[in-house]
Amino acid sequence: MSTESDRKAQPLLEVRGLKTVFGPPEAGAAAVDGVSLAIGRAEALGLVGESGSGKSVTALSILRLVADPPGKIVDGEIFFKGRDLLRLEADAMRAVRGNEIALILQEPATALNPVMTVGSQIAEALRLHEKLNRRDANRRAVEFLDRVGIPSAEKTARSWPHQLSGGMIQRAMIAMALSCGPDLLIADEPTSALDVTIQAQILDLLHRLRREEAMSLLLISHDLGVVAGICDRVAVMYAGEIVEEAEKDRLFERPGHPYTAALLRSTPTLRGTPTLRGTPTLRGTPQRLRPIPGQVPSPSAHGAACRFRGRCAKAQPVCGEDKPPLDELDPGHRVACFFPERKV
Amino acid sequence: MTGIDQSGLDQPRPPTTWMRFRRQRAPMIGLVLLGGLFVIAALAPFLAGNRPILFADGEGLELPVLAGFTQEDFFWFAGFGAALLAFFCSKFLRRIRPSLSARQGRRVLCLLLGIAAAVIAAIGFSWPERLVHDDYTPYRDGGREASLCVFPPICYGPTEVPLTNSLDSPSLSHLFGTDRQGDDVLARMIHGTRISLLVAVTAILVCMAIGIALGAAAGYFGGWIDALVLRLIEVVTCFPAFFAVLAVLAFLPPRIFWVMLIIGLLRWPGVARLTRGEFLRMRDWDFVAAARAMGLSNGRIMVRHILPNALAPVIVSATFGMAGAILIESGLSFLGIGPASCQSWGRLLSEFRPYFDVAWWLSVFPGASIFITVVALNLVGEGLRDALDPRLKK
Amino acid sequence: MIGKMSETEHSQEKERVKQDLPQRAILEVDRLVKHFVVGGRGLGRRAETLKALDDVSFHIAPGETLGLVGESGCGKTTLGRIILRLIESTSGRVIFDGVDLFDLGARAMRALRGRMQIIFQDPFSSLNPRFTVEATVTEGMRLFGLARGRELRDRAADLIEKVGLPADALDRYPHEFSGGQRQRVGIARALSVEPEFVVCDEPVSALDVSVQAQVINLLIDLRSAMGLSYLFISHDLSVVKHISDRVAVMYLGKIVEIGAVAALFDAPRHPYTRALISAVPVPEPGGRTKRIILEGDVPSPIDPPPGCAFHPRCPQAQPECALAEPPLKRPDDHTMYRCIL
Repeated sequence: MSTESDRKAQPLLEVRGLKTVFGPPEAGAAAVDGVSLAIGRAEALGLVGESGSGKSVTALSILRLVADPPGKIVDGEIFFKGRDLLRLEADAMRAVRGNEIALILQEPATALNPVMTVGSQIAEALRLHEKLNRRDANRRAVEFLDRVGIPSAEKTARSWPHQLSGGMIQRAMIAMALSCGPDLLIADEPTSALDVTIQAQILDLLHRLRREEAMSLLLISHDLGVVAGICDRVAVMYAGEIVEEAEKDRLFERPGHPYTAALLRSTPTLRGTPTLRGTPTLRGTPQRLRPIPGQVPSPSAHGAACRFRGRCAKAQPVCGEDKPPLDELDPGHRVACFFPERKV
Repeated sequence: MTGIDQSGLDQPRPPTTWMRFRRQRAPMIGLVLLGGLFVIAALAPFLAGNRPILFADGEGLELPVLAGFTQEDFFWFAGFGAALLAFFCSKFLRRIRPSLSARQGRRVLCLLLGIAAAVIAAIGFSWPERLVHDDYTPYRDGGREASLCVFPPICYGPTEVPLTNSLDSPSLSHLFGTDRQGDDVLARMIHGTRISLLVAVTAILVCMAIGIALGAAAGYFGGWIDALVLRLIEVVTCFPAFFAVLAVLAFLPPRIFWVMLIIGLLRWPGVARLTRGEFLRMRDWDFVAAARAMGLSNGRIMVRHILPNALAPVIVSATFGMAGAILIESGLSFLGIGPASCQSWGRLLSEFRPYFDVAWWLSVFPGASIFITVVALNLVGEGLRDALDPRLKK
Repeated sequence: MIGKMSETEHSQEKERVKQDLPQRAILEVDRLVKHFVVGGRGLGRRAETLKALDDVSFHIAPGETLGLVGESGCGKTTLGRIILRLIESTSGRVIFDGVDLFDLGARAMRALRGRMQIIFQDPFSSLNPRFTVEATVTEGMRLFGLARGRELRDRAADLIEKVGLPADALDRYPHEFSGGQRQRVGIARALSVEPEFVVCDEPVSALDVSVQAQVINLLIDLRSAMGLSYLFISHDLSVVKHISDRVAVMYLGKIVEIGAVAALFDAPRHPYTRALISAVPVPEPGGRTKRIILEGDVPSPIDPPPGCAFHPRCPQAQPECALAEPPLKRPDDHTMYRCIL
């Protein structure tokens, strides 16, 4: 676990003011609007938000995989190991993708090429980046399949994607992602399409591998619980901006931003509604969920003020005039709000 | 209780299909053209004929054109009247009684149209077969004078007692020239519009009736019904269309009706396949299960729930089918198949063949009108396809 | 009542249950079995039997909500549809308020349909795109003669308001609404015929997190306002825990545990239930207690393992587990599970 100073000293990935728009730039529909975050070596950052928050687009932007048109990265810098990825040539960027930064996605069904065997797809990446010959690449592919916990790895390497279950495919994807020894793994909703027991397996695997490989992880999810399991720090996104960032325990114990607090209050969990500020809840008693009224504003309605004000119980006139900056509430805990939740 | 969820409903309402169609320029031009053709066909006796519209010769005002109406003329004219009625009703019903909901409004309209259709049918089918002997051509040709004699703009009928000017090139008195018999080509074309439209509509109606029924059954029930319909489709598709028509027409009396029927019977597999595809797609949707959970019978589910959703591609295909039907009919007439007395544009074209070197107007004008009609139908079809595209609806 | 029992055991069981209930159960499922035949159409592909439901039995008391949880392939969706007789069963009975559904003729069944309804998972396909909200919601009313003429629209307006939609929603089409709003319309449709029992088939799974809470609250409010009984099917244990009185856990077509919600989540008996509960990620400070991670994948219902279907993945499997079906245990009146431990 890295400390704040560690991270500041030598962040592996540092995103500054990233802005990605879709459609004509004048229309200003920014899916990602001025996002800044940093991930240290061997650190796991969770990026949480609902659909429309821009979290997936952030991940794709880091790897410059946003389809252009209609999307375009119009501002910001992405420093990875000291180099700005947005300024790289296409060849250099390709060398980064898969090799230094790996990506796994949500939908197992479409993740693999259906006409290539699983093993050969992993081997393909190895031959491309590590310049191995075919035999060595195949052998290494089987090794990786084994490492990610696939039983009978040899047989699986020779199988076709449609013969594997969702969980197996995600493991194969992780194997492919790991095969070139990346420094950073970006996982975009890797378990959303899986059954809950399989989800637990995959998250456990990610946790274990991260430790073994000393790899950094950017885990993107709409599920706070998923992120709570394996991340060190969590950032919350809303309507294209980061509204809160803190160490994981801190975030769940004392969320600073009203949105985070409201999100926690509106999600049913196994312990009744989650404990806020340590108040115990009666178990098994139907608690009333407190849903967040309204809906996420569309990108065209964004404007230059706090985007959550339409749904915030604490909104004041100033929230409609200026945009609250992402300020430090406490060391290591940043909140973008004029009236953050302070301790009671 | 939970609050009201207003999300997104304060946005302006998304455009209806008609609005989306209306925005496109070329399809609207096509629609206007087709509308124009319909008007021409319906009001043909008023546009081209040798009976005056208004006539007064001392004994009061007469309308000789109406007196000379045949059954066919009556049906077209009445149809036009019914269409006008429907149009004005739909526009003004809302204004007269704003409390009516859309559903009730549609009911009233259907009722009115039903009554109109019944009345028209009653009158039309009992239309007397009269032979009019009065001849108004002297008033036109200058032999006699009357105080009021208003002829249609084209004051020649499609078939007259042979005139002396055969194969005249286009001139002021005969805008499109004359044919071998001396008949005015423009007059013949105006009356020929009826055939083209009738062929298009009848063929498509036959085609859709069979195709939708079989396709829906095949798609919804699956199993042996599906297998049977698919085999039927394969068999009919294997028929070479043109030759089948020729063969069948050899055995049937030469009436244009059979041509329309055959064309329809040959094209239903396409519609059936489309419908089947849509029904296959939709039968697993949850709203069908919900309808079953309400206790609706299969028939009602198919007709009331799935069919309205399945019609979009079928309607698009129908417009293109109409264009195709017109082309087939023109081709047949051009080759000389089909009744000789038929006034269709294709038949006009066929008369061009022996005179190709002397009478260009016998090919250009009929050919152009076929072309324009087919293009108009295609434009409307494409416009419909774009307007109905679900991807744009979100 | 869970699992295979001898006839004497079975009738003893029924006696016991009858004494438990103050009145007749609104729904009783008795040894329900459903097999699907798959494959066999291509060349060289044999037809196989998919055992979607294997001897399922339970009951629901009036006003009660039974949560049904399980992962993919456990048969919970099939169960929901068979209860409403949208699919025919292979064997077994579904008894609604004392009437055996599969014995009924078409007409009698249609009459009964007004008392049991279903809410679907997918907000996109659960509404007819060509029907206005009013048409969707009034169809059932019309069918069952609950209203006519102007009264239809008035009742529809009331219903729409009850489910939290604005009044002008009646004349709009499904594509003008968001997912959460469409689910509300689906709920309105189900309630339009004033049923006593509603099967909720994953009603919030396809919705955004913040909208889920709104719809869950709505379902709870409607339940108390209208005295409904729910069969709440979901893969999401947190939601099920929130809304249910009793919970049944399914695995590969069998119910492996049933119990009162608090008891089941506090002290689960069956190893699968324990693993399932521990697998759910919880956003809590201090991290989680040690999780039970199961080995392997969820097996296919085409070829279930012999003996106890769970034994290949069970962390506490014994050699006997592969040989025979595990015995049924009833530690108290409301809890049942099938395990050798």
